[in-house]
Amino acid sequence: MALLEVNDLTVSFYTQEGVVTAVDDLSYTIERGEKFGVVGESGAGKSVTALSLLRLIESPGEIESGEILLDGEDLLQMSDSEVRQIRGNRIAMIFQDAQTALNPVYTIGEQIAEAIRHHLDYDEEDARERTIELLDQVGIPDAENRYSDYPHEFSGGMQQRAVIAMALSCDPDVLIADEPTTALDVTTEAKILDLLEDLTDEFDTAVQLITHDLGVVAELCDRVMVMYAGQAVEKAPVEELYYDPKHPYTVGLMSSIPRVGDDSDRLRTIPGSMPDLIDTPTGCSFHPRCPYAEEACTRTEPSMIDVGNGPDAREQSARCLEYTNDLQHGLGFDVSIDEDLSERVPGDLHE
Amino acid sequence: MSSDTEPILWTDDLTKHYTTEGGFIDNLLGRKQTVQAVNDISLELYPGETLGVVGESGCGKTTLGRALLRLIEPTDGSVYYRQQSDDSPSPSPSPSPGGSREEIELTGLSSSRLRDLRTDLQYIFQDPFSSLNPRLTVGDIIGEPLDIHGIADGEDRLDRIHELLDTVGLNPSHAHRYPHEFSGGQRQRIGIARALAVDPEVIICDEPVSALDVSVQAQILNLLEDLQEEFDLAYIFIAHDLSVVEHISDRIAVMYLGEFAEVGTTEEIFSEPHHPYTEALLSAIPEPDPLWEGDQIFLEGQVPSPIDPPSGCQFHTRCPRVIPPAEYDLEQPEWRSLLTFKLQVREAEEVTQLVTLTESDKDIREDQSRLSRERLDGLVRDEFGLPPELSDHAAESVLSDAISDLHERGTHACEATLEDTYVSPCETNDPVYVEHSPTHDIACLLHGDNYSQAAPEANQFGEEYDGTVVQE
Repeated sequence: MALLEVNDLTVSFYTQEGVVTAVDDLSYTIERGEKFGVVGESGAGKSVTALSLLRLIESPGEIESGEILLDGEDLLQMSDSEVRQIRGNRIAMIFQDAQTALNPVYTIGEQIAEAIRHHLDYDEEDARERTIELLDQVGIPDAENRYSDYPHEFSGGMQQRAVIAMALSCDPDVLIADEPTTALDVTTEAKILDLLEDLTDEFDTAVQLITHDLGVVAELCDRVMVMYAGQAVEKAPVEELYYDPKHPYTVGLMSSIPRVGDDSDRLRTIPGSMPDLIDTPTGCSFHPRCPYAEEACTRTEPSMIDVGNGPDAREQSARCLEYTNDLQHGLGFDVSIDEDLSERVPGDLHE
Repeated sequence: MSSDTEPILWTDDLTKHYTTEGGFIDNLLGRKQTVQAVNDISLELYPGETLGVVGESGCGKTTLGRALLRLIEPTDGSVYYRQQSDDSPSPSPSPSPGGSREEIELTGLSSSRLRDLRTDLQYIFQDPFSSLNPRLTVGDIIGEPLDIHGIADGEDRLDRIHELLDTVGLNPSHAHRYPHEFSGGQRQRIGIARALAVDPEVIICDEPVSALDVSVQAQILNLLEDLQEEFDLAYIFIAHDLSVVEHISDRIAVMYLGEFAEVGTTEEIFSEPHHPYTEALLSAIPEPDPLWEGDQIFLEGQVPSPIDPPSGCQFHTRCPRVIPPAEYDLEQPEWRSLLTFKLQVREAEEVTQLVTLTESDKDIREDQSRLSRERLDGLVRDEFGLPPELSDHAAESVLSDAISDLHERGTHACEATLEDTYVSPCETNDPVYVEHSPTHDIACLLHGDNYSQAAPEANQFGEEYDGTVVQE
């Protein structure tokens, strides 16, 4: 049984302009210890999915239907107090903006110790010990003295480390990281990602990493789900996604990243922008921006089809009419892997 | 691209220092602090080119961009702009080799003269949400510079607004809409249209795409490139994302703590030789390729505070290639660890701030006098990734003395022992720009004549040295 299983999750927000379906019939699973990436542009429903897992959707939002199974137990059927036992304990979250995630009027140490006392029933002294140990583990120098520092005395990277320490404090089964490095500099980002990878390997924690940065996904994740307009459009192991993408949106995303060493003059773009979720296009929601869209795409809504090669065909799936043979002209993209592009300072790499 | 070989905009030792505003008593006691945001920057921007400026947050990129246009007043130094002389007479004309252009010192201009020059020099802001007035329609936002500079009115003004909206890829019929009705990418296009309204020569783009999604980012980058070609614009492109800067720039300046560490053409920056800081930055870009296994160089510590920047080369506190003193024969990682130890002793008041006590040291935490010399030695070497014995005997005996001092007399005695003996040339000597090619300058002692032999191989770093681990 998978550790976390999300089935047919639908989340809507009732706004004055209309009903926004932020997450639309989404299903995925995360295995124990797996690193699962969720990629997409802003407004794709990545963060709403994450908040649903913790039942943190607030009015006017509502989880309409579906189930979220953690070890077979449905979080959506639990009482508030049962959910509170799960939050921060078995499912923990790292928020994008560490500065707002930390309470400015409590010391860093106290905020972490609070969770430990609450969930693990440690006494004052033991919780403090454990907190110092955690701060040390996430690479905060002089953890003993920094315990009583306030958040504003930490730099951005250190705040994010403290938030990671807090998330790992109760040894969670699933760690949801919502854009954990977006607010950080590239040098700090590299260190934080490395830390996250080491610690989650050490504790065998499953990670759901939400990001828009395909470079971060490539570095950390085992499996990836690409989201568009509240739906998953492609799910694949990370290597297949990068070397053999099946959905035109994935291809568009890949080709719009500027790559170091690529000397072509223009970046390829996806024309237009994410549709309004109040009024999602008929048929395939990507068809207004898709270069391969045909008549059929405006009418028929594609379903998730297994498209993988070889024995693990079920590993990769995509939501495109191409794979139900409903397209007349097919998808006109092909993926070329340019070996030269991988050559980058400082030198020798790649196979 | 224009064939002009004379720069259109250049600076001479441009400097911007902020003074922290303390309270009344602080002022009375003279406890003012100076933040050295930008220090002695000399740059040149040629017509039709894009100069990328990269660096971590807090390195002074934005301050530099704003000081260039005097959106903030520079503390020192000058900014020059070569204006096409048929526009308007200049109060201090000076002959220029270009003939049709004349040199103007922006830093000495009156505000009304400066305002006239804003038709040539424009700025695109980072945040497309806060840089547009929410109470004005898009037409009025773009029309405002036309009104201020008296470029067009009535029917002409409307035509010009529609033309500009069309140029940046927006629907001209949306001119009556308000900014909140547009997405982030579209708002950035409005910001660009506003900058283009006065038909400028130079646009300073301050992180124009960092708030945007990748697919929209690509659209805006393409638009900026198209506009450059169409109107022969020169850009100064400030960003923290190296892959974006690489894509759009002709030349790149790498900034660290208010100074340029390296300046060169894009190819030169991205190929050897590198400034050690550039090297670390380049290695840290996450590559969108799951099979890519590059060596990432992790810089230790934080960017030092610009209030009290380090002496000598500002990067020496974090540099993985910092030069060892000539009198010792030390491995590079050992030396890096020793120097880090020394720098941290300087900051520390107590032993516990230097080393991490483990579970088994519980009794020591309560009573520091119970910490034995051997245990402290072990803890220090552990913390700083130093081997049980340094490869150089002289250096080892100093370290050993220093740890004894730390044990017996505290951090200040230890500091005194370390301070005089372990001194890197990087701490005492200001690096000068070394010219690798006419367009490529690196400010690093390793690239000068005196120390070039000392340049160690970065790849020697072992895994066991925590400080600066190069990961396989």
